[in-house]
Amino acid sequence: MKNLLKTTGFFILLIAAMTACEDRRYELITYEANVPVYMDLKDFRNSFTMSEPVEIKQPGKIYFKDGYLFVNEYSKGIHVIDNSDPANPEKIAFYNILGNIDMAICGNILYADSYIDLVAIDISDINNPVEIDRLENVFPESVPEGDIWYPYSRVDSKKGVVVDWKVRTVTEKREVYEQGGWIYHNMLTYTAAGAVDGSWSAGAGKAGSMARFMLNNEFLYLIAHPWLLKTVDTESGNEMHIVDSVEVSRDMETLYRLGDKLFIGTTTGMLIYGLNNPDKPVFLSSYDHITACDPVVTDGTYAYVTLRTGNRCGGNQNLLEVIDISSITNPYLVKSYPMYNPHGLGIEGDLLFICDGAAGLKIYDRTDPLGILNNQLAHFPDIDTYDVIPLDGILMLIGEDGIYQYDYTDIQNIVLISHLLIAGE
Amino acid sequence: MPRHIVFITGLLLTIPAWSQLPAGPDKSADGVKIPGNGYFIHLSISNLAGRSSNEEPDRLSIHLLSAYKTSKGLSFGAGSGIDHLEIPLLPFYAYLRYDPFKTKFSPYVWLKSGYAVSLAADDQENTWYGSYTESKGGLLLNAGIGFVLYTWPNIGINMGVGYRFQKVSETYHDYWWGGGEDAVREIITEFNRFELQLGIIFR
Repeated sequence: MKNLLKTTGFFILLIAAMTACEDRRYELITYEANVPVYMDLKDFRNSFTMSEPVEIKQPGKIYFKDGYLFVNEYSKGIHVIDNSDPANPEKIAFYNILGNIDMAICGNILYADSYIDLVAIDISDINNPVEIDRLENVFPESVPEGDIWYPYSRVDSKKGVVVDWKVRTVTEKREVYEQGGWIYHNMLTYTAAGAVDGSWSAGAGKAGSMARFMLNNEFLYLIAHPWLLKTVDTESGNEMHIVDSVEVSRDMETLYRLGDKLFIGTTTGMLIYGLNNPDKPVFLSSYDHITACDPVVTDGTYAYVTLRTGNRCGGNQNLLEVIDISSITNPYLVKSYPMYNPHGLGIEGDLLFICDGAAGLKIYDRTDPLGILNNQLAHFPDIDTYDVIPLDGILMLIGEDGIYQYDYTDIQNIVLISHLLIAGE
Repeated sequence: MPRHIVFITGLLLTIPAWSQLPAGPDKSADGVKIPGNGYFIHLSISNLAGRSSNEEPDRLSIHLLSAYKTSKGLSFGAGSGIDHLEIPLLPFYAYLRYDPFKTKFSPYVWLKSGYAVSLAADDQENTWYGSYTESKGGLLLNAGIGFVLYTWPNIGINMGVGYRFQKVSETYHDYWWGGGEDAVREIITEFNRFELQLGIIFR
């Protein structure tokens, strides 16, 4: 009996030992990649300053509020332009906001993204802006864009905020075939270039059509990540807090609000969310289209969507699509129109303004949604356009070589009244 | 600390304890004369068992070594063999062993350390994402405990259990259609295997 127990124990130990050993498998991958350049978090969060006006070099989104035009300088900050006389716009200041792409203004508070953070800046005195609040890590994966011809190496957020990339050879240790075998780290969210738009909100300004920020009274909706829509309560002004996060199963690009509806432009379609409870957007319906970047504007009956090629959204068609949204839960396509390379767009009254890339600015009478192309009112082909803000007879347009303003009070005689040049143009 | 380092260190720590045991007679009770110092050859076959995320099954390993045993029971030597852990390998290693007794039935501990060279052909297997280029062997570590039974004066059979560590790698080139060089991906496997050894010793 004793021997039997010993023998049994020996074999149990043997089997345990045979199964206890486990192989370890990993990979070392060496490649040339965009390697992050970090900035200390403390320095980053103390970096907001105002400076004298600087040259406009890489303009992004535009925003108009109370006679001032705010123009994003890609990833650097915001140019403040006194536009009380649109014929003589004057740069008066530059707000240094690292990593800034988007903005929205409610009352005297400017909300701007700064890489991973959302900052609230009191601009009661436009020449003495004061940062009054900062919501940290709202955009946790936001990074600048590196050299597009190289993949991206890993980001370690503990080292600080990524403010730049350098192409270098790196060796990384990782699990075998992590990321499915691809070395491209496509989970990063680039601080997307482009322009903005949005609709009016009490006390808010007006943006272009490519906004990722959208105000609704005290609530600010923002695309925190291509798949995550966050709602920020800004009511107290100096104490922002996130009240809602909605996961969206598509790549969101732009936001546009009309009344109690939020229109989300995604790479594969337009989503409509209800804002009956403004602190909690609720999905209502969607309209699918081909894969492409698609800013959207609407008058409540028709939504106008531009789809374009030549960007990271993919897609192979350049179109203007008119969508009937009179039945908000059942949007349908009215008609598609071929375009050259449409970007931002805007509407005011019966007018539809389209920035058709290198084909210039096109203005249409949109009264007949089935015959828009036949009702072109004007065409300015010599400017490469990104986005527009039509407002009270003045069209503010951002293009490759500067900021243009047109007086369209007489639609038969649209007049260029000013042009702010971009440095080097 | 890596598991294999802990295991080998633990095993080596037992040597002083074994050495305190009284040396046995040169001749065992049943009259079989146990050799003292001298050269010997050890041929062994082992089963290398363990769990693998890569579905690498248990493998056989055949080793042949030559060593010299001192009168104090310590043996030094070197050996080679044929292994197959994901890829065919030719190992070269140094051998250290300690036999505390000079009895017909003699327990011992052993340690092997060396390098295994890959015998795999460097194929150029192109795939949609890249190409396979080469395989490499790597560090070999082995330690264990066993016994030898001398049924004849110059021949003994042995059985042992131990731990085998073997590192191998396979290198691939991933195409990258942008700028710069293709990515070089080295997939490294560290085999941690339980070894069950059977062998024969010629003196």
